[in-house]
Amino acid sequence: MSNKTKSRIREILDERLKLGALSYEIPKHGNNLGYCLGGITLFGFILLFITGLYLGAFYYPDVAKANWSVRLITSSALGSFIRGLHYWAAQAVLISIILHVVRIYITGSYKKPREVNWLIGVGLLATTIAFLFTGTVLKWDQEGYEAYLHNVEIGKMFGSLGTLLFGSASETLNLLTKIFITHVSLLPLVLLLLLFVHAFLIKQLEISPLPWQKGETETVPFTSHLKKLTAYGLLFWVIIGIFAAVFPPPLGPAPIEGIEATKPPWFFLGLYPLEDLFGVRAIFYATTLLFALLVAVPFMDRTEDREPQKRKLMMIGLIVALALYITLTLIGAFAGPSAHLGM
Amino acid sequence: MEKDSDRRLSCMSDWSRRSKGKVSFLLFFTIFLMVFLAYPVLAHEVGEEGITNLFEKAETLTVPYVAHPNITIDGKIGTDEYSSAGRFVDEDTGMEAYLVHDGENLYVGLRNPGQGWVAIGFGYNIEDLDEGASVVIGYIDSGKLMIREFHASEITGEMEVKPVKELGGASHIISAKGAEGGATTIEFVVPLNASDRYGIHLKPGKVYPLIIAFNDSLKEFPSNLDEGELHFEKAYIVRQNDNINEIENLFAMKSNPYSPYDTVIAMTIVGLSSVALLVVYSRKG
Repeated sequence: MSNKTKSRIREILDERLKLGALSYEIPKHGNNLGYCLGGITLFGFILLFITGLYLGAFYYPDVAKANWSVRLITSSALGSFIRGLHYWAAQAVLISIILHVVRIYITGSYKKPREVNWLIGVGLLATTIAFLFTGTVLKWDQEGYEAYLHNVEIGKMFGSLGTLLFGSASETLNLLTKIFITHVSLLPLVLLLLLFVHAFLIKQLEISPLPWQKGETETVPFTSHLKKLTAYGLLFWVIIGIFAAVFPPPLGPAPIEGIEATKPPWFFLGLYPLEDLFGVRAIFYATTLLFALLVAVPFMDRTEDREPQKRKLMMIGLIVALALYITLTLIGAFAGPSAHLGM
Repeated sequence: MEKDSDRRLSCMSDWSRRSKGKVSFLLFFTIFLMVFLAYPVLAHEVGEEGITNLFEKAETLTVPYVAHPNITIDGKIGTDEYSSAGRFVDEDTGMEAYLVHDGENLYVGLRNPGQGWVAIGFGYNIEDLDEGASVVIGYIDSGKLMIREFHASEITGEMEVKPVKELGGASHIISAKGAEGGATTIEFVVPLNASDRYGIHLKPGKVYPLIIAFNDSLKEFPSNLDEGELHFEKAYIVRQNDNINEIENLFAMKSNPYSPYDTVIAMTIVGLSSVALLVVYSRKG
């Protein structure tokens, strides 16, 4: 295609879609990998949405047929690959979100005037975890079944309200249908709303400066950031694709009621040793404490300094939190399975 | 400048006045919507207990496979006789049930703390209680065991039962004995897979509704099991060559064969990348 044709096409599109508006200036460091982690996560969500549409077309949200329907999906090479993309993308998204949070924490990007956007981000993290949990249950193998039972057990802490939110409150609604609706309808809606506000606030408040940056900074057009993000995002998809092709997603047999044999997937394993020590309630208390601390971060660190060297206490807090999370997760991974539900 | 700011303040106050109505409307509409949406669920919750709820909170009893059960059908539940059997014990009433199978037959021992009838039933499908259940009921009358098979056309809180012979079915009880002392004990053997639709049909590897009932004084066959103390449980019929440890290992492994490697990889990525981010953004600009 000649340059003249390209230019003409651009002109036609710009006239109608006003794409030129995307060429606003952003700080150059916005193209660094560390500052692209949020965008990479967004690419992960897009992949999850597309593959989720395919899986949702074949999934049967009923206790009697759920496991069978997932088996049906994975009985074809295409179905197995698409479920693999969904499975590995979910885990990759969580890792990219964790790293995104760590980067924001280290660079002090949650500081004034971006406190609200940090809180929106904490909401996005909570929504992602809810996605991971409901997704784990939906496959309805022993792991999914036991995850659901933990959910019910925690729900009991809240009496009848817990039954309504976490348990099967009514026989008119199959419990898997309830979780399926949450996974494919409620959570995507919450995610979209939060993502919209998150992106809007980034646009309004601009990309946060580098920690050591004072005064003016070099800028690049936002379109170059989009190009960079697309490149990183496609690379992210390729890595997930390789995992999906080489390591097909696992699926255990339909669950046996009355036995407690599995351990949770790696993203919940950190809670397992706590559950060993303090019982199922520890899941609720530990998760609440984690999110309370995350919410408190911008209110605890109110100085104007962004450089990590000048925020030693906050950095020590980060290192301790990460070390604790990794240690508990590894202990959970290597500890033998134990029963927590009294079955 | 002052005029501009006054105008802005006035606009904001207008907006605030206009918004108050909208916010109140939205608030009431949201509350209405929440109550409206939650109503069918809440209404059902306080209504009649549903059929599936009979088993929703029930415990699962494992009915193990034993190649040659050391069980003598003599109406006495010996100390070691049912040592490997699945066991139901109601500590409040003293009702006991013991179950074991050898791949072909089901061996059952029942103990009624009183002097009346005792019953055990197996539903045909845990997912559809309308498919009914096969029930065996027995009692001791003047030292003689009276035992019969019954059929329930559906599993309900009342559990209405009819003798299978009245429905055109046959008796499948291979052997049975009962004894009466301080309590009533009954032992019997039935095939796992009966010859007609009214008998017990249990496939190893599956979970079935289990109904256990007794009456501590009535010495006649009941028409409804709720004439006595009625319990709803679930029974998992263990497969041949399986034991519970093997089953648990099998289920754990198949659910996630990548564990713990996926955990180690994820934690390595999170750990190393976090250190890298800390190093990169801690340098002097």
